[in-house]
Amino acid sequence: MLYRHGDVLIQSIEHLPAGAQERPGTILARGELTGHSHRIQDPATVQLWQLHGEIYIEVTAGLAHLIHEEHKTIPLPKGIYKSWMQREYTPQAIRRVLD
Amino acid sequence: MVLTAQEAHKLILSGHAPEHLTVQGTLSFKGEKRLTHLPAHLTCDVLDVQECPRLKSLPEGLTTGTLLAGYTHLETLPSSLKVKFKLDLEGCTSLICLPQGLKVGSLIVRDCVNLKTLPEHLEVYFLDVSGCSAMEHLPAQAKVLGGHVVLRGCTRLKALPSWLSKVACLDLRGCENLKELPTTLQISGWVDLADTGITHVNDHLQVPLRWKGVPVESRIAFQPETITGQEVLDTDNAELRRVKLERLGYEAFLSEVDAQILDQDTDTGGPRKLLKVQMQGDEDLVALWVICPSTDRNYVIRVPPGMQKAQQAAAWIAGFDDPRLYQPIMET
Repeated sequence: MLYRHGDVLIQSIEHLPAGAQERPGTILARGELTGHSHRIQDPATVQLWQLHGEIYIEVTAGLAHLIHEEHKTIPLPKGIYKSWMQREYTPQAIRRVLD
Repeated sequence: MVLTAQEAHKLILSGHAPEHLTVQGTLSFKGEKRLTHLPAHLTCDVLDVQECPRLKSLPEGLTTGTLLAGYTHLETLPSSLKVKFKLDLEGCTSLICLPQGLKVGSLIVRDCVNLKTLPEHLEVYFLDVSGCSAMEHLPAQAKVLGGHVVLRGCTRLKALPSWLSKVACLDLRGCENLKELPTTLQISGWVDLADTGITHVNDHLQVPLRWKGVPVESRIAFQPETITGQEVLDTDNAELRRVKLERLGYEAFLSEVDAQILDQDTDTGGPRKLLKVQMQGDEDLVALWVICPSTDRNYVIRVPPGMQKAQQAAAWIAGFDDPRLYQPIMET
């Protein structure tokens, strides 16, 4: 299952990778200029994890809601997900989309 | 009578709660279909009655630190209501007025689409009136004590009153009938002027400008004719690039940079085009032009120059080198 929430991608995976560390809070990504953020609405529904710069979402409740000030909400069923950002090409480097 | 929130919750739903009840902590009925009324002269730290569909009114003498009453069918509030910190009435589409002389730290009436004005002698620190599309004017006398004021989407609002003199940040996005700012206004943070009728800012203001949340220089806001296609291409930040592109105009941009359409199809946001711009002394610029399905904004995102198909480019942007693997079940 793959979801796109603006410039954030979320894909369901089988297991958390070994060595993932707990990540506090519920924010997946924050806009550099706007201060807006992609985040899980209710902290009680998830535990975030991180490993090598990647964020993993463990939805512990029946449903968690992925929200943002400007994007429609995506309901995520219970399970494990990997989250990453869109990328953009430049002649110098491939980088995450800056917003 | 002083009760815990748990005790009070049970008693109120039983219909036998006495008047003059004092509750410690957060009294939450969020989404509770059985809640039809609250006892008079209720005092509590936080009262949450959001999304209670059968609650049509609030009792006399209600006193709270925070009152969360969004997405209810409240039409009015009692004049005796006292809320110290935050009064959140987001999405109360039946709300037609608020009590005169209301004083509260933060007032949120976002998307209260039937609210035509705010009460006289209102006194707040933070005010969020966004989406109040029926709001025709602000009160003649009121005070905002230096906080954020959000009037986003108040499309009928024609003027700001002189009492709005000191604010931290002012969001006027989409106030298309607003032509100027009061000369008495002082803004310590920023003002967002996107899609308003405002074409200049008084010299005395010297305030940072924003366009749909993105900090911009005044040239971008007020002299979009000076933006060139090359300037758009040279802008690193995708949000700032989007604003410049929008101010210049997509058609003007594409015609100016002589873009060739390599491929086009349709995704959740609408038509999607893979464009190529030949760059002097540099590799070709190949970019996907997409429309965000949530905001209808247009984005142009650069992809490796060898891309041939729009879907291939969208998949690459999402992190998939093999376009067959990019099959999102939901895009917002």
